[in-house]
Amino acid sequence: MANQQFYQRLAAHLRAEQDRLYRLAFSYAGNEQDAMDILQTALVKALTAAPLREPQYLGTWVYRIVVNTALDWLRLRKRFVPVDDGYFDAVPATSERAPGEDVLPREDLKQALDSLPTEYKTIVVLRYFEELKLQEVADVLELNVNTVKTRLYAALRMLRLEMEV
Amino acid sequence: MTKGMDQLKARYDATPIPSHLAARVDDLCESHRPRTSVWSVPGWRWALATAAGALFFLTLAVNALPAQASTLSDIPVLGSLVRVLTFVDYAAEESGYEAHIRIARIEGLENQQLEDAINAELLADGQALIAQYEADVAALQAEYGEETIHRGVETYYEIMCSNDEVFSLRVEYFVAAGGSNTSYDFYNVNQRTGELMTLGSLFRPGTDHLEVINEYLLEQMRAAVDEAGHPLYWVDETDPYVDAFEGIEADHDFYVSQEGRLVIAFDKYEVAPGYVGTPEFVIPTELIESLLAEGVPIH
Repeated sequence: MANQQFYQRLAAHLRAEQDRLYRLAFSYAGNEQDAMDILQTALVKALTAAPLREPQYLGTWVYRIVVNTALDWLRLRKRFVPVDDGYFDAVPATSERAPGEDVLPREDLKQALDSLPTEYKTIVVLRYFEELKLQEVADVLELNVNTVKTRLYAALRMLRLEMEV
Repeated sequence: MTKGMDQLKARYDATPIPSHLAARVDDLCESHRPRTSVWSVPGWRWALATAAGALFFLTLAVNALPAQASTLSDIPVLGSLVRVLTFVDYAAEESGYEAHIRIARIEGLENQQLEDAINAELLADGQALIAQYEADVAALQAEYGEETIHRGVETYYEIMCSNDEVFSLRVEYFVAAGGSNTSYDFYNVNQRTGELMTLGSLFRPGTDHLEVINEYLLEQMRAAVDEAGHPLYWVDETDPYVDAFEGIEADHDFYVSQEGRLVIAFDKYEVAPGYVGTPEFVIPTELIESLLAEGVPIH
């Protein structure tokens, strides 16, 4: 019945968090069909996995499965868009801007986010969009908190955004 | 946050959520319910829908069948001597566990032997269900003690057709265990010959009736999928996690409607996601007319 209990908890969690998990999948896929594919694959993985021994990590565990499934999907599709270093050179340096002015126009910023290396983009999505704590992001990605922090700074630098980590 | 990140987050939050996401998540969860469940009654499909859906269906079913709500009541059928009554009415309710199992008994069939056989089967099936329910509650109570676990079993029966030619009875099994499942048993009697009808017996031997019916079913399902814009039925591998429906088998569930049409019935989750319910397809008689055996009561 340990199975049963874990299943009940997991199913309740998936139902409650389905919108967030879908958005996360969509942030990689960029379209509904692929996002649904990624999410379904991830949910099947979660539902067929051995019961988690520490249920307090259920949330981060499910995020991890969705992220890893999305990364696998990206690898399969070979959809990596290499970051062209020159792309960012065209952006005026911070000092040349009026305070509050966007560094990149809205569309460009979205494009810039999408063209970040995936490991950086994932951290931005989890930290700022899913609003996880740094430690939680580290748990999801199974990384050291300091590594997460370093990558987040790097990502923000690439996006030409100045904000608190 | 800076304006740029605010905008990105707003955009992220505005990701449109597909209307069928909830139903899909439900189906995935329910189709992966652990098989070791004490609720695994053999032969029942254990894919389940949402608790909300279960409640809705339960309410609907009760309201739709007022005759079954009363106990030990005779259900007179107009224009026929066949009667169906509740032979055993088992009701139990205890802190979240709930069962209402009605065992039907048929009276007045032309063929007494067949009537006895059907009644024996109805009784045996019902008693097995009651025994299973009681064993399950005992097991759950041993496991969870005072904690409220919501489980429910209901059975209903409904006369689908009763006239001089045909008597069709449907027994419905409804089970709620977090989600819900509905499956059916059908008894179709040719009142002219006094024989139990199987799907195959309706057609002349050697006809390709299954191909004709399946072609029609698939055509109807594909049209419904096209119209809905999402996989309303599991046809043509629209969903990578379930087997696509390829056609019914020779002994598939059916009944004869009051109008004398052949109706192909599916259990919940048999060909479609849970929110579709228990689909039925009325086969146009002109499609199968030339294949029917002589004297079968299909019009």
